[in-house]
Amino acid sequence: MLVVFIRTIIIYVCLVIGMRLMGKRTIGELQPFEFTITLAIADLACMPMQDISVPLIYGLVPLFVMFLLHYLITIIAGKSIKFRRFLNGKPVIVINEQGIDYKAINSLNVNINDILESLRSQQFFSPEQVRYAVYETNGNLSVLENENGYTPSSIPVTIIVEGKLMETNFRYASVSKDDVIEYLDSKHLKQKDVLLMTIENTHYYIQPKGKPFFSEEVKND
Amino acid sequence: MTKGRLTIALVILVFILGLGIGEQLFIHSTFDEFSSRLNGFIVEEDETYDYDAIVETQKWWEKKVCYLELFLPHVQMNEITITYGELVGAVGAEDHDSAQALLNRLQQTSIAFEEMYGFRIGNII
Repeated sequence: MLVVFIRTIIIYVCLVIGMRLMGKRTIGELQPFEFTITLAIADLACMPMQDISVPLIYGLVPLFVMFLLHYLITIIAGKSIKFRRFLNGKPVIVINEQGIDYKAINSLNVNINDILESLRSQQFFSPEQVRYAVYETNGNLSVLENENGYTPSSIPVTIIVEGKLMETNFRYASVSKDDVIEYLDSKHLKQKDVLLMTIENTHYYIQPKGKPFFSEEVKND
Repeated sequence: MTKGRLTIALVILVFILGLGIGEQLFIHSTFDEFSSRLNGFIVEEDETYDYDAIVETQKWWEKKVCYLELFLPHVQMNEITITYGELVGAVGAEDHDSAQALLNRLQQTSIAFEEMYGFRIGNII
């Protein structure tokens, strides 16, 4: 029982560290230490249910130790901001007035597609519609709308994501690879330097890496 | 509510630690006694087995198993019980070669059990 007690503490601490290292994309709605408990308890509860040769105490002790750890962490986190920050991380601004912050999303271990997906789930189909977006500690994206931003009338098609051409999308935007390269050349941009490029009818949106975004109407000849 | 929860947490902590320490003491005392009983089965003078002592220990073991089963895996407990039953049969039939092998096995299993479920760094890591 004492061995199980110590082992549960070790595994719990390792799980919390693992969750923190994996970044925010692994969790949803829950804080990392809550997610850890959810994961572990599901398995702990099943083990003694399935195997009658294992004493019930092998499932109950870790279960109660988890409760104790959760309680202890909640108390410490309530009293120490530093500990709370260590445990849960801190909210990160991923979209600001200059557009998508490439360094910020890299530090969170999320990618452009995750950001676009989170935006779409909140009815924002273009980053232009957003003034600020903050990745919360529980993995949710909070958005401050840009009332003056461009609102697309249809779904913008991604043409370049993190420097890579999405060639299968070209036909939906009615452009060719040459058109895209030519357009980038006219803006003195290299494909690898473009974080995100979308086209929605004649509206082009470009987010270069580490530079402010721009958008414009382009007439296709 | 917070005080109530703190009280519950402390009670659980004390309960787990108390039961854990009790379990360790019980495991050590049980297997220490089991080993010493096993070592006393051979009568030194004529190197025969003390059948009455073996049967008496079998009853003692069956009582202990009832408590050990609360916190040790049943499959491994059954292994000792079955092997012990074979030992009783072998000694009753005066098959001393088999009895010697079974006694050695029980002695080793008893030592292994005490180590396997003892509170030591090897079991934690």
